[in-house]
Amino acid sequence: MNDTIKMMRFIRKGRSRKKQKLYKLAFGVAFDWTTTIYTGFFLFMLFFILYDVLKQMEPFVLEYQKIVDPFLPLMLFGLVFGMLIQSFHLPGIKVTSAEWKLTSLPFQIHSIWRYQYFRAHCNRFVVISAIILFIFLITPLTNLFILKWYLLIMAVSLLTVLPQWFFFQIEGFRKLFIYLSGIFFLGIIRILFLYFDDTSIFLIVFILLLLFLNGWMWQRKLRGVNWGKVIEKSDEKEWNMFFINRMSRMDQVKKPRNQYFVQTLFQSKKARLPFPYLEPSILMRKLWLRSIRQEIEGLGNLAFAIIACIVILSLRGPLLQGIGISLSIFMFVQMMVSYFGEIFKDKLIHSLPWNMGTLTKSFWQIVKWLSIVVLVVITIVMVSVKGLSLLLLAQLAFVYVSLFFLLDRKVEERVQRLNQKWYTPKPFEQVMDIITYLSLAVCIYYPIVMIVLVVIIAYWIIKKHNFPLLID
Amino acid sequence: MLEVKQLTVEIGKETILDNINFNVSKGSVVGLIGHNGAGKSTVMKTIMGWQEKKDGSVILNQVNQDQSFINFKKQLSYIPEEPFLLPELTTMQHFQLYGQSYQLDEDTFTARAKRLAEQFEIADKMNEYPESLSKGMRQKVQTICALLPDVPLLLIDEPFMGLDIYASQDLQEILLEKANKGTSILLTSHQLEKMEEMADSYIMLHKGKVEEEGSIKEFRSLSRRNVT
Repeated sequence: MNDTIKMMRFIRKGRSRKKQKLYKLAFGVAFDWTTTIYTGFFLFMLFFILYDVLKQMEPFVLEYQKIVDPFLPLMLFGLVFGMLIQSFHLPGIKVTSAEWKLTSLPFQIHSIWRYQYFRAHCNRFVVISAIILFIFLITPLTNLFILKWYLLIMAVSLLTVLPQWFFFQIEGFRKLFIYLSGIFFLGIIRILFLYFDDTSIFLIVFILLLLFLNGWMWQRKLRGVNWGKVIEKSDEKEWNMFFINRMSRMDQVKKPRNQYFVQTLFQSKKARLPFPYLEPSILMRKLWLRSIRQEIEGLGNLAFAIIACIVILSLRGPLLQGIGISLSIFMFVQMMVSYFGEIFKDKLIHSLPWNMGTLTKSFWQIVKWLSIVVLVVITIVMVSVKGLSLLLLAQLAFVYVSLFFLLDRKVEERVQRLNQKWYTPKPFEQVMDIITYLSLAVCIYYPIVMIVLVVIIAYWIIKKHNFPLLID
Repeated sequence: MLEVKQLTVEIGKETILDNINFNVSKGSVVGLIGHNGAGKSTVMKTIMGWQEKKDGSVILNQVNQDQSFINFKKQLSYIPEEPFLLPELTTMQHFQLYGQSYQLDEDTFTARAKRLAEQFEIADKMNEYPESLSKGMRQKVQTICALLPDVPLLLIDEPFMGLDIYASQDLQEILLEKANKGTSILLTSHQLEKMEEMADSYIMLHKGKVEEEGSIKEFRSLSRRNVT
């Protein structure tokens, strides 16, 4: 064990030196000496200003202390609940690839784990103590109040290290069951707690329960550990340094998202079976979903941007409402076409002769649902702002057809570009896009422009029947 | 068959391939040889369309890569040096993806997948995900994927890397059988003995240029001079 401790300290020192160098470089990029001195001075002053403000607010703070104090048990439940949530993403005890590599030398994983378990406790102890010390220094909260909260928060935090590790290893529906049971159990404790006047006995029982849980888990701590997942998440946590990522622009580099929890839920025996060979779109749909899952963050941002754009502009008159609709559809179409291109960046998919008929069909099977969601949002906003009328129904029909037309046009254009390096859309096609977006922008203010719908439908039908995309 | 004309590739300001010209005729096995960094893998990547060309063209059976990329790719399959399987698909699902992409009919696909899986001894791994396979197994899966379709051209980057001695032997036999049936093969390998056994001709690259090319008999005398 002594050798293990020595080696672990050696690794930690090396890691810390490397981080220091990285931070030095990142700070060099972010600050010069003048900025550093001003920022330091500003922080120093801020500390005193904060102290002074809080001193002046002493009666308020003490009043607030009285209100907050009975909620201490809730805070502790929150910590346990937080641990349950965290166990979906992080093991709580870091075993990085560096530590794992030690197992190929004469070091045992048990000893390494025990050391890391101890380190996890030390880290929590230091972080909580530092926060509480800061609160102690700048707030007029009473010493007894701070001490009570400090001791209890510390006890619960330390007692949730092992459960987080234990729950992290559990996969699939079993994990979901434990999570839901945990919430149910916490709910029951919360209700029971309402019937206790003196919470101290209750809190002691709660901590004893956590202690008992730790004791039970200690025997099972290294059974069925998913080391691959632990190492990956630990490496990610160890080296994913916010400030350095910002300075080196690494935060703008996309990394594949490993949704282990979701994956394990659906990696059932059925998921392992071959697909029906004569229905290739099923397999392709799985690949599209994988591709879109990797872009889920962008999809969230898109949803927010569309809702913000349509809601804010709709409240500022019919012209801006039209512009809002046009902008929302533009954003959606561009994003979906960009997603359509993503799958081809994968090396394996790129190396295959693309069966474009199947690929576009399966893509549409997913995108049609996303389009429907966008159209529902637009419909709700339009109906809320303008009220239901025949004219509005016609305008909605125009919006629906335009969205699918533009999406179809852009996907076809993308397919052509993938096939022909020098492809450029015909001028008439580009004009059709511009006319459609412009008509969308003014269709609320000047409903007469909806006559363009006839041109769009006629063009679409003629194109599909007489000039279909023949690539396969 | 395959015509590579005046191929120039630049990455940044560095010229990786400089005016490369060569042909691969029907049914021939051509070995690309050269030191590390000579440009062998870049040639492969450019033919596969991963690497942007600065100049030149790649034509396969009169189909220009830049003008009809999908038809171009229908005529070739690729075995990479490092397998790039998808973590979401099992072995069999990978085979299906290849079978469907190359539009093999179901009976042909099933028979070939079964035969190759047995030949490479992975028939019991058909429903396994790549993470649960060893590197050699993953290489076998990737190799079988590329061998499933009957295509005019096979591109192979270090074909024997990661394969055990029996699988290497089987692969060599399969490749020679394919070549006898008219499939052209362009391969890179550092295993010169294997190259000598398999290839009809060689192209030697040096610093992004074709330094020498000729029949494999000429190459044997070169290898004695320790050129590669």
